[in-house]
Amino acid sequence: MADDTLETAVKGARIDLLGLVLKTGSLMVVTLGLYSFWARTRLRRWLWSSVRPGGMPLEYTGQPLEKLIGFFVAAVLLVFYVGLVMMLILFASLNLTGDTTPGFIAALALILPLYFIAQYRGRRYLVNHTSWRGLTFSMEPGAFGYMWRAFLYYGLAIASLGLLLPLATFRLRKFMVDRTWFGDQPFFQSGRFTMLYAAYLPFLVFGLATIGLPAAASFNGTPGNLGWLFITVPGMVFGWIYYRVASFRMLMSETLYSGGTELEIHPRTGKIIKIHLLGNLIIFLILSILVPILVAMLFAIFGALGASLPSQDILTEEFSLGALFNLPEWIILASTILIYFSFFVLRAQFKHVFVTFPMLRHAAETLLVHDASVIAATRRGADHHMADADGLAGFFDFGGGI
Amino acid sequence: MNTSQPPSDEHFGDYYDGERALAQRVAVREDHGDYGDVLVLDLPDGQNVVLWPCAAVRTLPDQSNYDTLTIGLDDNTSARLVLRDPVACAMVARACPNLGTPLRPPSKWRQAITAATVGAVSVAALILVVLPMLAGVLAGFTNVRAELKMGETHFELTRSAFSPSNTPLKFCAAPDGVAAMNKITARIADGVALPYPLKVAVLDDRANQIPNAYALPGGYITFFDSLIQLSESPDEVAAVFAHELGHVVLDHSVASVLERMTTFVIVSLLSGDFTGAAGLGAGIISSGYSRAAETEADVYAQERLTDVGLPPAALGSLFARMSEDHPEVTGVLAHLSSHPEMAARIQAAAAADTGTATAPALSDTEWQALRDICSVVSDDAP
Repeated sequence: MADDTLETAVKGARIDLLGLVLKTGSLMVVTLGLYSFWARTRLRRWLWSSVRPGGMPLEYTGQPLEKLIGFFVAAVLLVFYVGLVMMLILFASLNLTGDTTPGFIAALALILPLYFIAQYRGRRYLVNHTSWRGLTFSMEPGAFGYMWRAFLYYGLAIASLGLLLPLATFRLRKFMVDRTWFGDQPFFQSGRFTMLYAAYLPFLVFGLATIGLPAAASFNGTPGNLGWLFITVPGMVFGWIYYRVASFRMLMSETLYSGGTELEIHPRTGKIIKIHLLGNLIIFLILSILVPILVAMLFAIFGALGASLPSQDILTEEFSLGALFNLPEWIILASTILIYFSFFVLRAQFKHVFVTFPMLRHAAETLLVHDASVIAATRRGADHHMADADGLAGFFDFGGGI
Repeated sequence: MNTSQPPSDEHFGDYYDGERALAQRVAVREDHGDYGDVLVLDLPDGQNVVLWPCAAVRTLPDQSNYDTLTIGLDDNTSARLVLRDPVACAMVARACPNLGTPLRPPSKWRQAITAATVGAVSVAALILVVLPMLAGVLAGFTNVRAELKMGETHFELTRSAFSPSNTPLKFCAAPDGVAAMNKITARIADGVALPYPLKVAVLDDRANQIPNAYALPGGYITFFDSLIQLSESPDEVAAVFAHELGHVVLDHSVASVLERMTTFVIVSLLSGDFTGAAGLGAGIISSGYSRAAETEADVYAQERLTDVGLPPAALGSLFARMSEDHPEVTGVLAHLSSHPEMAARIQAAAAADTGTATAPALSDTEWQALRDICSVVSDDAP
């Protein structure tokens, strides 16, 4: 390997991460979710610091209170926009058709622009709060430009029955990469969208087979053998994951920094599927042991608490937990809601340990930075700070969950 | 400068000055000379040094910290020193008293508290005041034909939804009973200007009793027979009709549809949950709206009844009987119930009664006919 190629190490013990997420998860439950701004910040700090291109850890510089401010700013905008738009569209729909259902569907479609804006801003917040070797990455503003391009390219993809999806993938990524900087030097996405068709082919073939076989069968008037679907549908799912992974690999390999440095990355589809399946299996096993224990503990507490109180003389012919444990119903209700909430928090926290981190580790360990001597000449660049954080992005689940 | 430290005590780390991405291999040592307690970083050019005051050195928080220690200065700059040598880490830990304090940029508590307060108040005002107001205004502009069509659709839906069997609930159609009901509605609705005729119906719920009445968009007012059976006088039926007429005149039905759907989507987005929990949250807020609407309809009924010479207290006496049959839910769950606390409504009805009632709503014969209205049932409106 050439001397000026940087390899990337990922260092971190999962047991440490487990300790961190269990601590922040408990605080989230106790504070009824308010601590999530802190929990997310601390998780990102840990994950970022585990990734070390050329031995130097990445640093996450986002702040919990920025996220809290971002949440409230976005909440006001969201309620104002959605409330007003929803109501006017529902009203129009009612007056035009005598029914609110078409308006309800149309109004939900108007949330889509918010989704794309949030996607760009979420990404921009992460980039702007990542630093390495003492310098910050940054991303220029451009959420509205991204939003209408997303509409245009996904619209083309839908109109072409999926054939032009690689065009959307390429153009939208290029829009983001070409606005990204490290220090005073920019990144650039080279290549063409046509290169992605090699990665898209399996999904396309299985997709056509899934739609085409039943269609051909019904055209011939014979009850076609739908057993084929047991092969083509899982094939489509695999094809889709393969496309996501392989297109990422191709696009990263065509990403240039400062005109000279090239990136290279080699995540493998099989390994990523394995991490997901194994990780979720582990989470399922842990939860299926933990949840009954938690419920049993709660019932034991109810029993002890109820026995210590004078009999409530609750006259009811119907079965209720409150009557069973000699406790007021609101205690039962509040505890049930708390257990429900804890379950979702625990599941999300375990996911960071058993899925997110292994995925990150697998992908980042294969990252190579070629011609890295250019990097040493990089100086501090213009800051594109975002003080209000990714508030809008917090309202949408982008799958990453971090 | 104190240079008494022997070279064997030197340990190396990677230094980044925060201005360039250049990695500089530096020798790190501690010094207690003229500058106070400092970490001395000898730059690789062999001439220049960087001095870090020990008291200002901090660790980055929440690091995966696997075989490295990343430290910086508490001065809001991004210069960093990465140490891998365990001896160097131990030396820094010994020399720097505040190393355990996490490196943090200036706090934003003040802005955060302002944003949280202004944000929470604005969201509450939008959801609880602005949107209901807008819904009320829009409801007043609703196109009559559209409202009639919506009302018709919803009326057929409710006939099926309240039926315990597969067939929609039947209309009670005994001619004398229908005439008695018409007498009540004509007296109370007399002079009330509406863009559409009122469509009053009594549905036969003898198979599964629901002692209640409801109003729908487009002037649909529907009684269940069991409510008439629960009433002890025609004045009580008249009072319920006046209450439902209030919902119609004040456009509550259309406004409530607009409010409920909008609130559901907002709560779903804010909580990131499009399922049960969001529905519960939206239900709590919507029941707030409808509690306001119920009170408005009560006030309308009291005025209307007084105007046509009927006793408003009749509304209260029927509520009192409904409370006995269905002891009201109190406590946490009361917020989910769309009727304001019955006791308050009964009191308000009694207070509105000034004793100016003239003739009762129906004669004894007519009252008996109304009670027997379901002796004839029909699939179509009479």
